[in-house]
Amino acid sequence: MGANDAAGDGLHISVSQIRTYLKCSRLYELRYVRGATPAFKPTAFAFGSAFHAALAQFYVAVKEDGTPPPLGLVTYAFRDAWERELEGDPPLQTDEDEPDDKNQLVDKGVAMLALFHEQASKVVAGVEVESVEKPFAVAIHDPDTGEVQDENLVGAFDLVVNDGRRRTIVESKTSARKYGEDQIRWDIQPTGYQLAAKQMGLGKVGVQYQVVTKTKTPSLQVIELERSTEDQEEFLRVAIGVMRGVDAGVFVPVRSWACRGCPFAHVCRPTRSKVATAA
Amino acid sequence: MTNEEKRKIYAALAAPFPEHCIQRTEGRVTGRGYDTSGIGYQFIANRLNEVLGVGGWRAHRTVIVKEILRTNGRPAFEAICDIILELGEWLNGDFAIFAESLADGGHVASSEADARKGAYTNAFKKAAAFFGVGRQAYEGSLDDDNVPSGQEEHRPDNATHPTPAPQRPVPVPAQAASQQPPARPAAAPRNRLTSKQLSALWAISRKLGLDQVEFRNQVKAQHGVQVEFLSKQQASDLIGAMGTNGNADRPYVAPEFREPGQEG
Repeated sequence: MGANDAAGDGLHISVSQIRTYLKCSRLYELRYVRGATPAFKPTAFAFGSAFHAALAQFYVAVKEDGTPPPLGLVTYAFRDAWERELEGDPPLQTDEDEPDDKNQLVDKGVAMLALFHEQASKVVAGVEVESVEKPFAVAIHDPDTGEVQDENLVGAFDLVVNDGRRRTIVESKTSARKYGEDQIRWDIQPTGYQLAAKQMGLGKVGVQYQVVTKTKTPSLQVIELERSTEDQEEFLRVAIGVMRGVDAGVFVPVRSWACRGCPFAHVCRPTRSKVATAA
Repeated sequence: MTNEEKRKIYAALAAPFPEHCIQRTEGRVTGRGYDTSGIGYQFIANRLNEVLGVGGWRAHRTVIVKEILRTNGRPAFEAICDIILELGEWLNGDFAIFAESLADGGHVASSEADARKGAYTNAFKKAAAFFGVGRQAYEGSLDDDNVPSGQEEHRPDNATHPTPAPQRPVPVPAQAASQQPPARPAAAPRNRLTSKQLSALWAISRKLGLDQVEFRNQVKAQHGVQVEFLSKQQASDLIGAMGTNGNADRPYVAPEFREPGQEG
């Protein structure tokens, strides 16, 4: 069960939706409000999804059996998920700065998984895997007025582990390069997740990112993320700001290099009738 | 916990409740001889959960019940509840308290269960009000705008005029206000459909045998937006139209999808 299932029948907002609106509110409009059909799926997204499926397989096995599964099982899960991505609709499209050779990508994924498997097998030895792909849907309120919003915050924790002292939400990422300082400091996902965990009665949880890089020699970056009460309040204000913007129909295109790789570019600039010019 | 954090928690706890959370009783109906206004018990509990998180508070209570005779000679139960409401956090199996309030409440009812429940909610509301939750009920400020002049002094406890009224914003102390970020402008009334309307649409579409994708596509074709982004009015109209179709025991068909001759 994923975030969408957790949302149920009611209104909801997710970290992904908030990020999308902040990145380009016109993209938000096309994807979520209008429900436009994307022309393609970026290969990086598909790669991340397949990698994610393999990691979930790893953690589910640890949860159920108490020991890490063989690397072969994990890479099989990756190849299987990747095949489904290749056959899926819409078709995949590679970004300009990525290799177009799909086999090369599979090899890259297998190498990244080997690194992950080695490191993660050591890490899970001393912890209890409490849940994998745990969906949540929690109420959010305006920190300034206390007013509860109609939308629930929804999402899914990749992994929740407990080392006997505290719970930690572990999020797995694939990235072209290591996360930088600002990315680590200002990413809103850990803040939203800590808020959700608090609402779910999990108390104060830690959030850890495991970033496996797609560099020539893959590396695993483990980041412990700290977020304060002020960060959480800011997250709520941002979420409410986004909802207000959506309510008001504020959808402004942000023209940038990102437009070249945007799956909704084909419907972003509607054809307008030419304005007659006075001679 | 710092004073600043405490101040923020208080501000969130003490925020005014929207109109639908206010419960009003009329003296002529209850037989008490006076009208009351208060915040519904569940809304108080919701506020504590939303601000402090589930598990962020707990209550200890002692209830004493005795049998009495009402003034009309009928037997009844009178319950008195003493409550301790604690705010805190569970840490390694222990509840670490950062604030507590003590309050009592009472209730008379024909059944012991109702008397107990009434006394508990009465005490609970008062205890929560010590932390600012629903304090307007005890300040008597819920309905100030509608109380006819000269009547205010006659109100007993939290009794007020029954006419609904817009709520006043919670006053912020001058010192605290100077530390606040610039206030946001008041939010415009929301035009987007409500969660309840959305749930109703999904429920009716399922009842009519439409699968989710089919229904989603029909709404998109008809209104140009996904079902989650309909306006309140559009959702209301659609619920009405689908209800009519549902009563006719046939699948809902958006007007654009109807074949000639299908109208009506």
